[in-house]
Amino acid sequence: MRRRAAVSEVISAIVLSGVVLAVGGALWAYSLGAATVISNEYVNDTLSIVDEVTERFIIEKIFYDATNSKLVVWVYNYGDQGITADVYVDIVDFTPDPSSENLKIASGEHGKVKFAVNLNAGDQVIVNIYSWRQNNVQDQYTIP
Amino acid sequence: MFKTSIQFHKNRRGMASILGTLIFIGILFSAIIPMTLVMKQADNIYTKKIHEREAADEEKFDEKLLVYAWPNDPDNGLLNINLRNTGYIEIEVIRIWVKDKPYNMSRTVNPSKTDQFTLSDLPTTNGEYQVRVLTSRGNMFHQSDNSLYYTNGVWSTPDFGITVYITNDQGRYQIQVDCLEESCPYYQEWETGFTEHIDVIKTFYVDSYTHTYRVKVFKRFGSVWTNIIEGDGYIDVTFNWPIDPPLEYVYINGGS
Repeated sequence: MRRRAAVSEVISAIVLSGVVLAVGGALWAYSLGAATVISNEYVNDTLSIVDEVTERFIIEKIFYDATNSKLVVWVYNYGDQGITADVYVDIVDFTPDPSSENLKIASGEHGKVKFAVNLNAGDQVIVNIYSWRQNNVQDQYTIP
Repeated sequence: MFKTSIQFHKNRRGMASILGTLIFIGILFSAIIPMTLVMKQADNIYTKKIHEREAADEEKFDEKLLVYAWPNDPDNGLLNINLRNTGYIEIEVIRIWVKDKPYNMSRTVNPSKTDQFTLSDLPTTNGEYQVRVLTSRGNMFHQSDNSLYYTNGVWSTPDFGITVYITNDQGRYQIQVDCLEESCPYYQEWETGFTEHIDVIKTFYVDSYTHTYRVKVFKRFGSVWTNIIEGDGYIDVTFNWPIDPPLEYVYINGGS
């Protein structure tokens, strides 16, 4: 009786330890994965908020090239990261407006878009630039 | 027998407790703490970047640049550009627009210094020409003097003037400008209508750049106008045209 009891107690201790190790290992693996995913998401979200908040650009120049019938919009990115933006032109009292143009500018660089449109002296143009990080810049121009 | 059995049960639970504790500590040190540290590091980066951007925005706000442009010669197609940094931080000019034409460059203007250079290969269509200067911090400065005009190959010079710049915290001022020579009957007087709390800037356009003009500035203390220019009580202004800009600046410390 005593010998059998000792064997079964050792086996039960091994089995219990094995169960603890198996469950604990699974929990450990899950925790590692979850912690990695959570921290990665947190870091990515934080960095994307940083990019959004620190994004800076201005409309550097708007002018109308009457020879080629093009409205030219220059943008300067003075922020620390590149931008991707959509440029919209609203010609006051004129329908339809030209389609928006996409613009990509690296940090510290200038970029331009051209809109094929026929304008006359005195026409007013409102240019809106919406970056893909939800920032917006607007300027107006009157054709001289 | 009964006593022995209880002892074995205790030992088994002890082994499992030790393993469970080790696993918990392992999870704590290999997952929870690293995750917390990574998040904390991300927060630090966020704070640092925001702080850097705020500082850059403040620097942008502090940029002060006066831009003058005038033809080097009415016929040679060259344009003199004069940049005067009136702020206290250095300014890097990265592009100059003359009308619709950009000129890329990289020129640094130190505080209280002037940079002057000549642009060539100008556009030659008739009309008004505005000069605009873009800085690396994203400021766009416009020409301080009047616009230029180009008509059939000839540049029109802007008007000549004297700009009086009074640094001021609080005060009411009167400015007098008169010509010293009998051949130019010029006298202008101007005063702030009320107590100003910002810098006072006033430009007096003059008829000719060949004469000498005398500037006097008075500040009102109570009901008395007091001359605040140290020394002789006046500043004489002459134009060194076309080497210097058509606008001459006179800086006065208005005191507190």
